[in-house]
Amino acid sequence: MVRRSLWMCVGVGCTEPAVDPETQVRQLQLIGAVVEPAEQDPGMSAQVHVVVANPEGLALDWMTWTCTSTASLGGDCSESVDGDPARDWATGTVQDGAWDVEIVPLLDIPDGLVEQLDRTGGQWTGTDLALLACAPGRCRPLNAVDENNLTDDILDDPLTWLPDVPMRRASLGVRATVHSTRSISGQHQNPTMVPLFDSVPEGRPGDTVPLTFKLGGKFGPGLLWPFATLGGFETAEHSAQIGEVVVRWVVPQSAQSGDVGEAWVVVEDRLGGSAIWSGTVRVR
Amino acid sequence: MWVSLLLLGPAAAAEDNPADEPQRLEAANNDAEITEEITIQESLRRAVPGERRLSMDDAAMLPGTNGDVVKMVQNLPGVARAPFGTTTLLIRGTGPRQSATLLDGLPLPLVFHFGGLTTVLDSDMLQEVAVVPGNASVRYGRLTGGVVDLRSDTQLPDKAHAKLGFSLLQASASAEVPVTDNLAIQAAVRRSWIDAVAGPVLEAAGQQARAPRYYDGQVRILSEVGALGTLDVMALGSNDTFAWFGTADAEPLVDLNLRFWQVRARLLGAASPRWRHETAVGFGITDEHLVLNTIDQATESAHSLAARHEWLRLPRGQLDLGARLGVDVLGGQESYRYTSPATQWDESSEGPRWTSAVYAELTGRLGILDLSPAVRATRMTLGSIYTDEALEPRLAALVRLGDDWRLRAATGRATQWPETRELDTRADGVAGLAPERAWQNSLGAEWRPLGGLWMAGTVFANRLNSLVVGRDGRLEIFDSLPLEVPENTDAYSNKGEGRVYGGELSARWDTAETLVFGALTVSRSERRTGDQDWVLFDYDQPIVFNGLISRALPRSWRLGARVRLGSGNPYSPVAQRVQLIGEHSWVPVYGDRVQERLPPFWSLDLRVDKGWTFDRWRLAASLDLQNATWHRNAEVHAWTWDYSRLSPVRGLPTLPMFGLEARW
Repeated sequence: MVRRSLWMCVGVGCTEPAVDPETQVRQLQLIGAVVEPAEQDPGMSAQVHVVVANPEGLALDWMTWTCTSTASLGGDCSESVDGDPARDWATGTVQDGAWDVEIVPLLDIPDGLVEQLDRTGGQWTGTDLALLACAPGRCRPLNAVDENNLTDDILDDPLTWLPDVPMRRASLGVRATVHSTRSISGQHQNPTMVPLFDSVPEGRPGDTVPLTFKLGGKFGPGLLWPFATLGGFETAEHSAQIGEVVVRWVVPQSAQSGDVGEAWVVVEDRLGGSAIWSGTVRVR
Repeated sequence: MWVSLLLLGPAAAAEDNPADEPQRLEAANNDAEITEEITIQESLRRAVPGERRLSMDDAAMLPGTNGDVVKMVQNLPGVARAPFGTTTLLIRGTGPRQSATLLDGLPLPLVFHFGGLTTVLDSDMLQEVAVVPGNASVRYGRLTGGVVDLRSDTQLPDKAHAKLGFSLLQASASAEVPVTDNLAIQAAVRRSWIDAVAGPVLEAAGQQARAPRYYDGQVRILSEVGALGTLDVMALGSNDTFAWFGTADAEPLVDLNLRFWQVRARLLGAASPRWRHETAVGFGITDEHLVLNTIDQATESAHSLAARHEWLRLPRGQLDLGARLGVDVLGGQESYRYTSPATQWDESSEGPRWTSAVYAELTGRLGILDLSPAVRATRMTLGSIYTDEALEPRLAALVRLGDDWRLRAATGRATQWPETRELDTRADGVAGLAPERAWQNSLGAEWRPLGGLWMAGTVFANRLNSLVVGRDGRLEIFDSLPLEVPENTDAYSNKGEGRVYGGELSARWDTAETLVFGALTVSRSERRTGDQDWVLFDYDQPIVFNGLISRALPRSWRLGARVRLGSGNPYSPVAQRVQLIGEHSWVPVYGDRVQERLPPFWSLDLRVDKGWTFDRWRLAASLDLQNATWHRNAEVHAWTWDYSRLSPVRGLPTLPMFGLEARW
């Protein structure tokens, strides 16, 4: 019973690095997705803004699709009703590290859901948005779209094709969407995150540069995560609430003057809303 | 008290343990008068054909083991390297649960501190360690792997002895006192002091922890009780505790406590010059409790009883019959509880579990051939929930070709009962699970071309059937290597299979000053479930090599070195990952069980000993420099937080194990 605890014993006492490795982005990776509005009526469309880190500068295609079920990755997405498609999907090309898509997350509304939401005034999070960034020709669903033979089973269970795609060539993420039948004024809004610095953050090698953000909105309590392709941040996770938060970017000792990298800060209010800051960091 | 017959297997003692005095073996084989003392000792030391024995003298001087005799087992052929140099038993392609460590033939509730740091027994209590990697005698059961039998020294001391010892890990004290000509008392106690040293260091590093602490103790009475024989009564116990808080005033992220207490008694006697008997009984209480991340908990406890009664007759001369007849019982009240709220797992059970066996072995000696057919009939009950029986036929043969050659062959079935949690239908178990089975086959030869030089080779092929698979994987959060594939949520079943095959070579050269030993194992161990493809076993190590040398120098100096080379353990690589946006976490995605292997392992251990002899006492100092080259071997596979790359848990750097020991 105790071997795992022994491994943990061995790990005790390790020193912490100056930079939290969880903040360092070295390969293709989704950073986050903002769904606007954060809370929707069933059947409403939403604008989704997806940010992706692409340090290797790959050409990337994207695909977004929905899955309404209780197990979004288990091949249990809702089947079509009355011949209509059970899901919404869209494709495109990633531009400047992001893509935007208008999509209807909850296209196949489960029986009784609207009545239940009306009765309870509650929320439902049974729909997932699948967000895929992929090098051209590598991912089966995008290839199927190009060949005009996309079928539901390809999107229902990504685990049937995803293991065949190298990690550095495709990044798949899943985000739940929030639905209710409350009035718009009562529905949850995305938080706001305003940077309190005007210029591009910069520092000399070895410096720690503070970046301050002002957060607004309603938090559940929330969490905030910074990322960078050049150096990293001291702390991977911060608590997020109304007010100011400071994240500290660490300039790598090995950096050269003029080096430029990308940085992002993602905040989740844990109520279904999010915000993303994207920017540049520079070595003086 | 029962009367039983203790039967010796084919004579194999000296061939397996070159440290034996050849004269002693020949004396045991002669029809000439045999002292009871030699016969009882020899009978214990010849339990099994193919048995390999390690003496306490070996343990004291060989590098890399810090004097722990059970750790020495890992130098033997057929034993794979355990991660972090722990004493986890990985014998001939089987896992830790499939092998057993016994003390004088009875199970030890817990064998190692913290699952592998050091043995719970003071080495002064032991005479030798016997290792049977496969095809064990019918004396041993309830396992499908191998056996490590710690054997205590039953010789009454002729005078009082005492010892005080200090090392990096612990302080120890032991003493043995002859009270009368027929009665002696032994006692030993050890306590770690890692907590005294590591505690301040951890606090200085900002880590809040209750550093690992263990203690153990044994008290023993040895008595010659006239015609009845030798009575050996021992009380022993052990307690381990460790906690890691992470931050001050927080609930412990890891909280571990392991403890046991046991009382055992053994009577060794001789009913006649040919018949020997052994009666042993032990009763103990075991508690294990582990908490992870303040919420995941595993608790196991047992009140257990073990007993054996056995008769043995040695074969003699060129035409004779030997026999071993015995019965053993193991069981008691067991209870467990496992909870993991994150996975909605809350499983518990309590009840009696008993296994019993009767066994018989005949040895026909026909000139140069010893043939030993045997059978072990075993039965298990789990309250009123489960009852099953199993039969384990076995056959062993030994051919003596002159004084220098021995040829061995063995085949036989072994059985291991499912765990209580796998059977208990009141919890998560499945009714009607069959016991796990193994067919073990081996063929070997031993050669002693010159005095002091001994060589041996064995080929083996084992088949494992009816292995229990299923939701057992959930226990890996408490018990095992990092979970490498999605948790198996299927109900328990006997759909598992295994196959293990390979060869072992070993050689030993002893002179008055020098010991050289080498062991090479080449093997393959695979598993599959149902009709799936075969995959490598978690601990498959195709190549394992250990080479040791120890040389005595003038003025009581001794130098030693050990080289270890071996394959890394296999693992299933993460092929891709899915990011849970909004939760800042990742889900690993594995391919079609395509397996890769951690980098090969190698290390160099050095040891230096120096002794001083005074009028009434002796002082010995030792430095066992483990991993002297500071090579950070990859011990256990793990990944970065986002599964983007492999980030194995590395082994310990150079570990200087100082030791100081005073003996009177």
